[in-house]
Amino acid sequence: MKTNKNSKKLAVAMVALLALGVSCSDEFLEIAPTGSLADAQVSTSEGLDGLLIGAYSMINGKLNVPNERGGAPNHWLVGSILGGDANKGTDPGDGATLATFQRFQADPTFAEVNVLWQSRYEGVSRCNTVLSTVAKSSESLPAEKVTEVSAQARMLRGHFYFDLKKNFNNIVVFDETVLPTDIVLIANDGDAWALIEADFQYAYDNLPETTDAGRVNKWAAASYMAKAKLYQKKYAEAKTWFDDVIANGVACNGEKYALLDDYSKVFNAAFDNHAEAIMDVESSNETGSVNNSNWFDDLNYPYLTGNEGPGDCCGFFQPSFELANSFRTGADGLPLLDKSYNLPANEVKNDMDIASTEPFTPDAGPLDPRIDFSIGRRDIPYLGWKPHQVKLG
Amino acid sequence: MVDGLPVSNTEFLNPDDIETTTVLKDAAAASIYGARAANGVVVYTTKQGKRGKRKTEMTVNISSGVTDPNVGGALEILSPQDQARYTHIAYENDAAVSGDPVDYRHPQYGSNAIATLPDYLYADGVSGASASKVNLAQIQSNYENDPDNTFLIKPNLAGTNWYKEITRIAPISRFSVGFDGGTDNGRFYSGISGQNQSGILLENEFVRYTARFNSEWDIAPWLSIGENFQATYRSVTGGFGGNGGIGGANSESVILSAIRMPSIIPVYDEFGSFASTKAAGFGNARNPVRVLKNDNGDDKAYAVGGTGNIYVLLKPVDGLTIRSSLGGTYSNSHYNSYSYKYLGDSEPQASNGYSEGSNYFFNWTFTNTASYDKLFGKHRVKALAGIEALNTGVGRSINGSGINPFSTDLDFQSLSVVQSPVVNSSQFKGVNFYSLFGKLDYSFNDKYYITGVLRRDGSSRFGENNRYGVFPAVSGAWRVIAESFMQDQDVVSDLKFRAGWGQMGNSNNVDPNNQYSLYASDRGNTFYQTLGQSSGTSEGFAASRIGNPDAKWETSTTLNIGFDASFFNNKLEFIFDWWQKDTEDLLYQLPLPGVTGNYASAPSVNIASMSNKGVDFEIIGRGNFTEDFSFEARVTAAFLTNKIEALAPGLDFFDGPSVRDIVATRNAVGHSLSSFYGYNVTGYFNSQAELDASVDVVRDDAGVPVLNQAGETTVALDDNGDPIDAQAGQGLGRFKYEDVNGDGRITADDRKFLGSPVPDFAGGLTLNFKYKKLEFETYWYTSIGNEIWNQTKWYTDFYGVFEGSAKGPAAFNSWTPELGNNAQVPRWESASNFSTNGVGNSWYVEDGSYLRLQRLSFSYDFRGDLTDKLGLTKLKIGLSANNIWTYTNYSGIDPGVGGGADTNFGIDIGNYPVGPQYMINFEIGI
Repeated sequence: MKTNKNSKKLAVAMVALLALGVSCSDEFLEIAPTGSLADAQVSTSEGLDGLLIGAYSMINGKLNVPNERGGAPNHWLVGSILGGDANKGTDPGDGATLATFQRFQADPTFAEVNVLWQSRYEGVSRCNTVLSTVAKSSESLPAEKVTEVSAQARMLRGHFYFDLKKNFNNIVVFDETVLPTDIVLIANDGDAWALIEADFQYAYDNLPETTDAGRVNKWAAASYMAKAKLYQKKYAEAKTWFDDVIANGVACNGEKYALLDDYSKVFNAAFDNHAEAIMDVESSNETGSVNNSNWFDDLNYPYLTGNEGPGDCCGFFQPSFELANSFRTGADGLPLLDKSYNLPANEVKNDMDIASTEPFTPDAGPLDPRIDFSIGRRDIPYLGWKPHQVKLG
Repeated sequence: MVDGLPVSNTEFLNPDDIETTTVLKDAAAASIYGARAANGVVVYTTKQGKRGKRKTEMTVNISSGVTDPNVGGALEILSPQDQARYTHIAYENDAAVSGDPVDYRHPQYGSNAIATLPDYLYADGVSGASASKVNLAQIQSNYENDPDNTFLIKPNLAGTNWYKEITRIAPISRFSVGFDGGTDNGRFYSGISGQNQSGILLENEFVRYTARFNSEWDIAPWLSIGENFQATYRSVTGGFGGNGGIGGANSESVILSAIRMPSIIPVYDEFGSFASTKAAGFGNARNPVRVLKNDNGDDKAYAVGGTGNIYVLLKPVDGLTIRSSLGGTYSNSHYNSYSYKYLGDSEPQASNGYSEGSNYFFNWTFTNTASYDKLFGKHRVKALAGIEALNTGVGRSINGSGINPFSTDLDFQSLSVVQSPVVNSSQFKGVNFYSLFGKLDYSFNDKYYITGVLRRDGSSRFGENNRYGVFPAVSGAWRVIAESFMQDQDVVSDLKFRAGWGQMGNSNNVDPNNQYSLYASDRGNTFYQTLGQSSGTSEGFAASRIGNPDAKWETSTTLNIGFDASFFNNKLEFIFDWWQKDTEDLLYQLPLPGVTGNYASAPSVNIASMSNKGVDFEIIGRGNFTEDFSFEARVTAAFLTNKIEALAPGLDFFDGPSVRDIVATRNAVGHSLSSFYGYNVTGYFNSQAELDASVDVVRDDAGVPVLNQAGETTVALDDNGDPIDAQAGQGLGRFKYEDVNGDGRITADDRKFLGSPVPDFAGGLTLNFKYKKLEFETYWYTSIGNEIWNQTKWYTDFYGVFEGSAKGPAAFNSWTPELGNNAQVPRWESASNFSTNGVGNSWYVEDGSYLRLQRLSFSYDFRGDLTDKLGLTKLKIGLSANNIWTYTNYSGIDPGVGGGADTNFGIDIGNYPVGPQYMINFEIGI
C-alpha cells in the first residue's frame, strides 16, 4: 500500500531523529553559567586585583543577612552600646534585642552576634581565596605581583582575625592551605595571635609606604602590630612598634602621621584620607549601591529631626550620660581619667525632662570642646546641621 | 501539564476553556510525566471540539460578581478614647515597676491622670496642640508656601477604621465565547475571553484577555496534524503580592499598616493632604491609603505571550501511533513603578522615585512517542516508548530605578530623566532535560491489570558523573467485580483493588549552576573604594557559589494501596488510598558554617530525607427522594503526617527566618517541616513572692551550680549585690517560661517544639441537591490539628511594641493581679524584653483548626421548551457565593494562612481576611 510505504519512510526518519537526539544529548545537557566568572578568569593578574578588592570590600562588614548591622565595622553595637558610651535609642520595642547587649543579656542565638562572626569570617575567607589563588598561579605571575597582592591580603586577614579575637576570644584559626571541608573540623582554640602577628609582620616587610588611599600600607601594618602586642599585654614590644610608627610612620599619601590642626576636618568627607588616617573604612556615593555609603549607620541619626535634619528617622544609637560626662575636664582642661567625671558634682548638665518650651541653659563648666562633635546638645550647633533642638512633632 | 506541555502556573488559562482537570496520585501514572512531576501532577486538557458532521456550537459565558472585603471580620483596634486611656494605664504600670512617680508623657493625651484628646494632633510643627494656641491664618499661609511640608491634623474622634479605608467591594467579571466544531476529518475549538477583576485593596486591578485556537485535521488516513495555541495579555495595576495578596504580606505591607495605624488619625488632614504619623506619639506606621493611592495607583505591569504546541500523528499500521509534538511558551513583560515624596510620616519618604523594567522568556518542549495498542483475544497490550527534550526557559531581564525626575507628570517620567539612575540586567539559560521512557500496560479480560514504567532522565543541573537517573514504577489492579463469584449479587456494583510502587527523580529545587564554583562581581558586596574615592567605586569579585559536581537526582519512592468500591447500583461509593512517600537523597542546601564564609551560595547536596504518609478517602452517596428530587453527597478526607528523617551528619535542625527578631520555626529531624519552636509560657509572674523565688544560683563556667560547704546552692549576686534573675527581664505580669531542662534558669536551651502548621486532617464535603432543573450545591472545607503562629499579636497586643501605634482590645484583658493567669496578654507597659515581646514563645501559637462553608450555589437549567423556542441549545443561570461562613477558635483574621513550606508556612503576619464573593453566571449555547 502506497500510504503505508510513505509512512514507513516517515517512521524511519523519525527513528533517525531520535537516534540523533541520543547521540548529542551529553552536549545538550551542558549549560554554561551566566553572569559569573570561573577559576581561570580570576587567576590572571587582573582577576587577582579584583579578588583582592573583593577582600577589601568586607572591611565595611556588609553581609546580606538579617540583623546585619551587628557586623558594623564601627562596632556601634558590640563596642559603644555594650561598653556604655551609647544607648539603643528609639522606641523600646523597636530593635529590642539591641538593648539586651547593654544589659549583658545577649545570648548566642541572637542574630547580631552571628552576623559579626559571619561577616568577619567572610573577610578571612576572601583573603584566603586571594592567597590560595596566588599560590596556584604563582608561576605565571610576576614575582612582584605575588608579593604585592599577598602582602595586602595578609594584612586584611590579620585585621579580620584581630576583630574576631577581640570580640569572641575563642576562635577557629586557619590559613589558606586548609580546605573548606576541613575548616569545620578545627576546634575554636587556635593561636590567633601567632597568625595575626605573622600576617602583620609579612605585611610590614612587604607593603610599600605609599599606596592608593583606600588600601593598606606598611605603616598600617606596623600600627596594627603594635596594637596586637598591646592587646597581648606585651607592652615593651608594643612600645618598640609604636615608637617606630611615631618616628617613621606615613599615611598612604606619604604624609607623616600627624594630628590635624582642625578637629572638625577629621570627620569631614572633604578632607578624606588625611594624615590621621592609618586604615580607613572607605565609603562613597554614586556607586550604584547604598552598601558602599556607611550602610551600617543608616538608622543612627537623631530621632525624627524633620527633613532639615540628617536622616530624619529612627534615632538608634543615642549617646549616654556617661559619654557626655567623660568630656568633663578639670580646670586645667585635662580629662578626669580617674572617672570622677561621673560624680554628681562633675556631671554634665542635661535637659532630660525639661520641655522644649521651657528655658534651658547649657552646662557652663569646663568641657572638652570635642563633645559637640559627638553629642547634639540643646541650642548648640551640631556637625554643621543646625542648633540641636528638642522638637515635639 | 496543559495539553501535554509542562507549565509552572496556570494563571493564563481561561477557566471556560478547560475541558478536564485530573490530579494524578498513582505512582505509575504520575511517573510518565517524569522529573518535573515529582511534586505532583495536575493535567489540564483544554476543549478540543469533536469530529463529525455537525453544526458549530457557540457557547457564551458571562460571570459577574463582587468580593466583599469583610470589614466586620478585620482585626479590631482600640477607639481613640480607649487608646488614650490605656496609654496612661501603661505609664502607671511603668511607674509601678520603676518606683518613680507616674510620668504622663504622651505628647497628645495631656499630663493629667485622666487622658484627654487634643484639638489638633498636629498643627504645623506642634503635636497635641490646643485650639487656643494654634494660629490658623499663619498655618494657612505656611501651607500655601510649602504645601508638601505643612500639615494640620484634627483627631478623628469617631475613630478611623483603617482596614475599611484601604478596601472596597471589588467587582469581578468575565466574558467568554467558545466555538466548538468539527467535520468528518477534523475538529476545532476556539475561544476568546476577557476578565476584569478588581482587588479588594484600593487601586488593585487585574485584566486578562485570551484567545485560544485548538484544532486537529486528518490529512490522510494515516496522518493527522494538530495544534493548541493560546495568546494571552495580562495586566496588573497597583500590583500588591501574588496569590490573592497573601504573597504580599510582610511586616511593611499596607494590611499591617492598617493594623498599626491608630484610629485617632484621620485619613486626610484639614488641607486634604494625607494625614499620618508626623503627629508625634503614634509610632512609625505609614498611612496605608496614601501608599495605595499615591505609590501603587500608577504602577502597571503587563505581559503578552503565547503558548502552545503543534503535533503530527502518524498511524502507519493498525494499533501503532507515532506522535511528534513541538511546543513552547514565549512571553514579554514590562513594568513601571512610581513612588512619591511624602513628608507626613514619622519616617518620611524624601524623594520621588521611578523604576521600570522588562524581560522576555522562552521555553520549549519536544516530545516524540510511539504507542501500540492491540487486543489479542482476552489480552490487551498497550506499549508506549518516548523521547523528550526540553528547556525550562531562557531569557533576559533589565530594570532600572532612580529618584527625583524634574516633573512627576506620568507622560514625562522615564529612566532618562531621573537622578542617580541605577540599571541592572541579567540573563538566564534555563535547564535542559533529556528523557527516554517506556510504558507497558497489560490487562487480561478486563479483570487483571498491570502497568510498568521505566524512564531515564538527564538534567543539565547535574555534573557529568551523575547526570542521569533511572526510575522504575509498577502498578496493578484487580477488578474483583468482574470475577464470576461476584455476578449473582446486587449489593456490590463495583470493586477494584489497586496498588502501585514507583520511583521518581527530582531536581526542581536545585540551582541550575549547582555543579559550578563561581565568582561574581556585585556592586553592593564586592566593590570597594581602593582609591579612596568619594564618588564611584572599584570593581572586585568574590566567590559567589561553591559547586557540587557530584550532586545526583533525589529519589522519592511512593507506595500506594487502595480500593474503589461501590454498592447498591452505585448509590454508595468508597475510594480509599493509603500512601507513603519517602524521599531519599533530598537535595538540600546545607548552610555553610560561618567560619567558611557565607557570601558564597552553598551547594545543594544529597543529604536529607523526609517521609510523608497519609490516608485519602472519598465517600460518595447519591440517591433520589422522589423521581424529580435527587441528591449527591461527597466527602473527601486526607490524613497526613510529615516528618524530616535526616538533614545532614552533625546537623539536626535549621531555623526559619525571623520576623521583627522573633524566630518562629525550626526544621528539625523527627519533626514536621516548619515546626513552631520557642519558649513555653506557663503563665505570668503573678506575685512579688514568685519573682523573689525566681533567682539564679552561683555557677561554674560550665553552668553547673557551685555548692557551698553546707552542700547548698547560693544565690548569685550582681555587681550591686542584687540577686540575678533566673529569667532575664522578669517582672510582675510578664511571661513566665518553662524551665525545660530544669537547671534553675531560663536560657536558650529551654526552648521546645510548640506545634506544627501541618494539619492532621483536611477534608471537604460537597452536597448537591437537584430538583427538576434546579440545582443546589454546597462545599464545606475543614482543616483540623494545625497550629498557627499569630505574629500580628506582636504588633497589637504589647504596649511596648512601637509605642503609640494602634493596639487591640486585648488591652482590656491585660494582666492585673486579679486576673493572674487568666489574663489574655501580659501587663500593659512599655517594657520590651526577653520576658515580654522579645522572643518567640507559645503564647503566639494558636489552634488553627477551622470549618468553612466555601461555596453555596444555585443554578437553573432552562433547556427544554424555552430554549427550543429561542433557538438555543443551552441556557443556564447560576448564582453562587464563596467563603460565606467560617467556624474557628483562631483569634487572627483568617485561619487559612499560607506561606512558603520551609520558611514562613503557618505564620500569620497580616494577611487579607478571606472575604465572601458573590457571583452570577449565565451560560448560553447557540
